[in-house]
Amino acid sequence: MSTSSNRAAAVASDSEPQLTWEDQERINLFGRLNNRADELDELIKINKKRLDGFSDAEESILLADSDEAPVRYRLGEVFVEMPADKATEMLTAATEKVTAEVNKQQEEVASIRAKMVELKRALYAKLGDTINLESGDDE
Amino acid sequence: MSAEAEKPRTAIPKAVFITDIEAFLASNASGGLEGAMERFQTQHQQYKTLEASLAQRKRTLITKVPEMQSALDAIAHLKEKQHDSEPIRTQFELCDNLYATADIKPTSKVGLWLGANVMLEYDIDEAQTLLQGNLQKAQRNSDQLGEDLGFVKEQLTTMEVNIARLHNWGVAQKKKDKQNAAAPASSAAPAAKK
Repeated sequence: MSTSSNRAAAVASDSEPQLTWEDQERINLFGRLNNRADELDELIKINKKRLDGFSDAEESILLADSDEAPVRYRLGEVFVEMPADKATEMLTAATEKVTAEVNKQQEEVASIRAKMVELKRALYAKLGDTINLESGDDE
Repeated sequence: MSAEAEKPRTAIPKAVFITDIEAFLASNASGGLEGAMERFQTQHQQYKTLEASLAQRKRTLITKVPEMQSALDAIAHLKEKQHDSEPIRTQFELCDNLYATADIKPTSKVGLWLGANVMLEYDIDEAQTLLQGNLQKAQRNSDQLGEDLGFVKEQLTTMEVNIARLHNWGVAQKKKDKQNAAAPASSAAPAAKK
């Protein structure tokens, strides 16, 4: 909210552009997309952490380099013994699955951000500095 | 008069949009600017509460998804081994940081924890279908909650904009009144600056 504008009071009643329902809808959509983008960013962060875990595990299996000794793979709350190459196979499958998920999430974020830029442009063009839209990507 | 096309959905009321502030205040039965302001603040608060409770439900649901996923992973592994002759060697957590080795004979049955201290034995395939169904259901519910949350967020934004507009209108109105009062005295003065 403006603290003190020393603009002539005479124009005050007309200085603010008339807000239409269409503008309101744009603002609403912007807010909604912003929320969704934040949510997706969070999910992507979690998935990337999982991927790091998978690749660390794969590396460790390689380093251990013992073909006979089984490795213990964690399934839920239980460790299951299995040959190293089976574990690697499972890790690869898991990596693929999560990578696909991340890609999908990143695509969605990109398209959301593009839409937000568009909405921002339209709203600033109409309402000028009477509105302040934060994109939420500056942390 | 100010509300545009009301579309009812999942019991969440839609926020009113003000097309014309003056017309809105004139038609408003509950005490002019102050009354409208107060009403909007209350409604804003109600939407906030609703948002928090929906978000909480969604969070709870989402924490369950990885649990189901890991149960499915375990079942997939059992299924793969069900016709082997070798037992599956595992380490079970007995309590925090204490593990014991257990051999699991290849099996075609698993026990699923149904809650309320009940566990039921299922064929592996049955268990898999059941869990997959639950997983999909959880996913769908979470999508639905996400939709509702988005809707509530939109209503919140509308409310915030309403409040800001009313506030600005009130400020402008006061200024105008002041100027009108001062106008006859000094009509030539350009843009009163204090």
